[in-house]
Amino acid sequence: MNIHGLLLLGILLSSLLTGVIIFFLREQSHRLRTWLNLLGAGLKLILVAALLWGIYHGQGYTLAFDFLPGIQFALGADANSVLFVALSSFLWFWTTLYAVGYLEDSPHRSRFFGFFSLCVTATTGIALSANLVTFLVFYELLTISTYPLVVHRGTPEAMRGGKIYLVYTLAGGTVLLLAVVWLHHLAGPVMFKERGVIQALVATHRGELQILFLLFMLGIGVKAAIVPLHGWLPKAMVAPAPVSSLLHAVAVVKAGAFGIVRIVYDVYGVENAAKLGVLPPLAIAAAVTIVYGSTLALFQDELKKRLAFSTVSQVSYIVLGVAILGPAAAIGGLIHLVHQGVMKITLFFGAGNYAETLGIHRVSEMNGVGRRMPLTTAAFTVAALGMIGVPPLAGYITKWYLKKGAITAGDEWVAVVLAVSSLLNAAYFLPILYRAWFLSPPKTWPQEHSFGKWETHWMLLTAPLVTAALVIWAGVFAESPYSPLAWVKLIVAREYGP
Amino acid sequence: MITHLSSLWLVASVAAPVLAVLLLAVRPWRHAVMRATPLAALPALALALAGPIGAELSLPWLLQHTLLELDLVGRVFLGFTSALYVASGWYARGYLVKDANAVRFHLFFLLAMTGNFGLILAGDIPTFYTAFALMGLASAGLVFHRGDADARRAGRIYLGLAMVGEVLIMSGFVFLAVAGGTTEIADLHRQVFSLPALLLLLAGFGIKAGALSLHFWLPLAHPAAPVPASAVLSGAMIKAGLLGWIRFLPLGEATMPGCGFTLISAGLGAAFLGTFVGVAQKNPKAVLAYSSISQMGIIMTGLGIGALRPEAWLEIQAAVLIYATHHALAKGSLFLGVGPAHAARTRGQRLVAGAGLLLPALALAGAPFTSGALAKTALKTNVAFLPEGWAVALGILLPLAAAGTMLKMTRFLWLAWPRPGQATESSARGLWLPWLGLVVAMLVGVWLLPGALEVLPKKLSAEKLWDALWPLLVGGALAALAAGLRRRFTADLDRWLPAGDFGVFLEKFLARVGLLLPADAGSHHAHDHEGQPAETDSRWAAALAAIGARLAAAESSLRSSPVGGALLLLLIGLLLFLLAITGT
Repeated sequence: MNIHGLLLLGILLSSLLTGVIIFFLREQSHRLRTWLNLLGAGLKLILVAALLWGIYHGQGYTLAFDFLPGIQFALGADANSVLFVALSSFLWFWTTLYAVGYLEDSPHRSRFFGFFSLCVTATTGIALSANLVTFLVFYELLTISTYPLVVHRGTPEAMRGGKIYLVYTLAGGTVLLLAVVWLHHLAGPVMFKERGVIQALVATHRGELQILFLLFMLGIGVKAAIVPLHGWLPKAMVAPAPVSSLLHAVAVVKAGAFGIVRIVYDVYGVENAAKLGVLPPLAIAAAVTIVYGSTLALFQDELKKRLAFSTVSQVSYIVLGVAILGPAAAIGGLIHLVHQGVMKITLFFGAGNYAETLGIHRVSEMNGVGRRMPLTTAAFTVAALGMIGVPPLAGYITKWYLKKGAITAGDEWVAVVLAVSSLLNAAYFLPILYRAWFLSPPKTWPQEHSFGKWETHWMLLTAPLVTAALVIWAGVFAESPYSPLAWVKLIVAREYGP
Repeated sequence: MITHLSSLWLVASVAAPVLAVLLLAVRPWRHAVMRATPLAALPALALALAGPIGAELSLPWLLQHTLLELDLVGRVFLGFTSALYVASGWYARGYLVKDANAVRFHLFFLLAMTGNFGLILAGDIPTFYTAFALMGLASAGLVFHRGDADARRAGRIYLGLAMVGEVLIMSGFVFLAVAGGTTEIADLHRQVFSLPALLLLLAGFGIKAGALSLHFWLPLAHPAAPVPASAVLSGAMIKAGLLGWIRFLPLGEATMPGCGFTLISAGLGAAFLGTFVGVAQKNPKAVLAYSSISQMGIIMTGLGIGALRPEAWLEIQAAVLIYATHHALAKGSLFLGVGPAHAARTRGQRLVAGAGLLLPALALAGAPFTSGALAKTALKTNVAFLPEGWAVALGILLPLAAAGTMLKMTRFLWLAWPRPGQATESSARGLWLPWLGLVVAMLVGVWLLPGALEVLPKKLSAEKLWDALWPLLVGGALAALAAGLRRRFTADLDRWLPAGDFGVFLEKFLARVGLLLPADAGSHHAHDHEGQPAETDSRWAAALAAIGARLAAAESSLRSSPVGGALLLLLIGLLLFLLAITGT
């Protein structure tokens, strides 16, 4: 433990305390709750910025104590965790702002924002866990704290979505628990470490490690929505838009993808995993997921459902990048953690704005929406084009590195999968854009609210504009030192470097 | 100082249209920006005319280390491209004066301009690709612009093929970059050129260039766009595919028999198919689009010769550049001329319009002393580089292709010729000057090119004159024959040979087997608002809905929680068992 480790605690507490206090606030104290929310999110952002600065300059951060005999609760931060924690706290800030605008005048806001904060605390914990046990604890906490958000509306459909979510994630958690216990048996306490911690076992326990890997992937794959474990995600889109953003971009799905990154890079070590021969099956699972998710997205008329299947597909880009050996593919996979996050959150913000302002929930209702809400639709367009992989947006950078990695590694089939996926993405996003910009709007919208001067509430408008700007930034300035890509290159240099 | 100035110039060429796009966002300035659109292409035109060869600018913080540079090839391409944008932008001021969506048109026009200039000046792969994709997407906006059923269909097919092309090209680029170890075009080690890259780039750029079998979007899209957009589509953007091949195929460095054979045969095939289907068209713009397919085919034949004879590449390249310039300016002139010729009222106007159409048409057909004759002579002299069998075959086929061009041009002139009494109330104010300006540019432009004047003596002999003349006479005679038989055979020809030729049959076939995705997969849920035209053919929709339903059934059986839960429980049991027997 060192004094710097307290920074990690601060990052966790900034949202945990906020959440706990908010639970005890009266429903009417709107202003106080909003300030608390934004204060917590802002404070966290500042602390994470400090952490980023420290890690960049080689400072180490650890915080550990025994919480069961022989089992340590350990927090730590490396370049990898900073990537995730920076992403989630940045997006959380904007999601909070968005959620405040979105839920204005709806019931149970204290409950909502309380769990909202807990959810982000758990995500932060996942990012900052230094060993498997701590990771597991936060992973389960995330499952539980998200459930009330999914069922927030309380409608029968929401309850059913929530139940399916719970069944899937708890079952996944159980499998993960088994895997953790088993590995603990084999290797003792597992601290995350670049290039893995199981070198000594590769030769002697080959079969067991292979089965264990499968277990890890099954356990974590539920949250990462790998086919056929993805079923909960399209159902969970009944949740309010800010929760969808949280599920798809900030917390849950991201936690799954990040977990897979952790297992492959920092528990197994990518070279050990390659020796065990477990990466090709993972790559195939990811490829199947990518194509399957995109194909189903084609057939969804409900906007959020289309976006949900798009997430199923896109998150597996991360898995695919991890499963291909070589630095370029690793860069492509890790950077998509960020890129998918900012693009998908923009899309969900957009979908939320359409629903909240005009009552639009279906793609077929979106004719001419670009004229009524030009700024929201512009943000949505940027993100959708990014998803397709149109240069110079964020998604293009991902695809460039993934393809480069695949071709360098001799896995040309992956380039084909990515090409097919791009075309499918185009096939389900471009018609939306065409409708929004080129067709004429209907005489009346399904359920229109007026927000005065702007096309919608300013809080709802700011968030997508900021994240869309980030989608552009991450692509246009990708190779400058001030981009997410620069950070990912740092991580990969540490994993693959000499 | 000079280097500073020239790099500033490079930036200004691309930045001027970007700036115009940004200014277009300011509502009170919109009208002024639209009026000033042709000015946005002026820095590029100036750079092409007077810029120093070898000027370059590195912007390492932008994209993936952007590099802009001006080389000889780029200069020629930039020259005819910027001239076309100036003329078309100017033409658009008059053409769109009553259009309610003029702002949208200008937005896409300027974006396409940015992309088109950018890809010409790009010195590295990612910048080229970014500009290429920008141009492709923005031009789809131009094709969709009119918004009627034809434009929607054309736009959909265009956008679909453009996306396929971009995906192929991107994959090809990554192969190229991995094999070459760099993204800078000048440094690509082409000796280690990878076969996948070659195939992907041939096909990907082939879509843009309207190569045979990938061409069918073109006769739909070019006529569907508003006239000024057709001119840049058919004159300038189509050449982006050609530029891609020149930049990225290892021409002049390796002998590529397969590639050469493909280019020559696809090129000749396109030349004749363009004639065959083109003369059947009733829409003069569709005739022009087919003529573009033919002409690009002839240019491809030139590239094919280069692929077979790398040692002669520089000469062949000069010929290809001459041909590209000639075609761009002549085709642009013809497209721009369709409107004013139709609206000519007085005898004098009809006279000028007739001359304005006749000159570029004759040039395209390769009449003596025109840019077309120069281009054809330049290309023909290179046929000599080929092995004898090839040389003989091309010696016969190329003049026949020229006869075909004459036939198409006659057909076009027949359709577009200004006749007394046809002028509608639509005014052609503001269209004449840019059009005639471009005709003048066509007359002089090609002679400014490097090597053009050296070709000149070769074609001044009587024998060469005859060489250039007889295809015209054959074409003219065929046209006369066709006109005589017109009543009996040609009345319904375009029903048998519709614009889009084999793409139309493909479309029908795919729709029948239910494989074609309509423009909007979600639109068949009958949530369309009243007054919106139904967007999908009901047969497509039905087929699609069936597939969707099947997938949804599979998906929901996967998703229902008992199954998922049971599966996992089963797994857990299996694991416990494994744990027990391994005894850890």
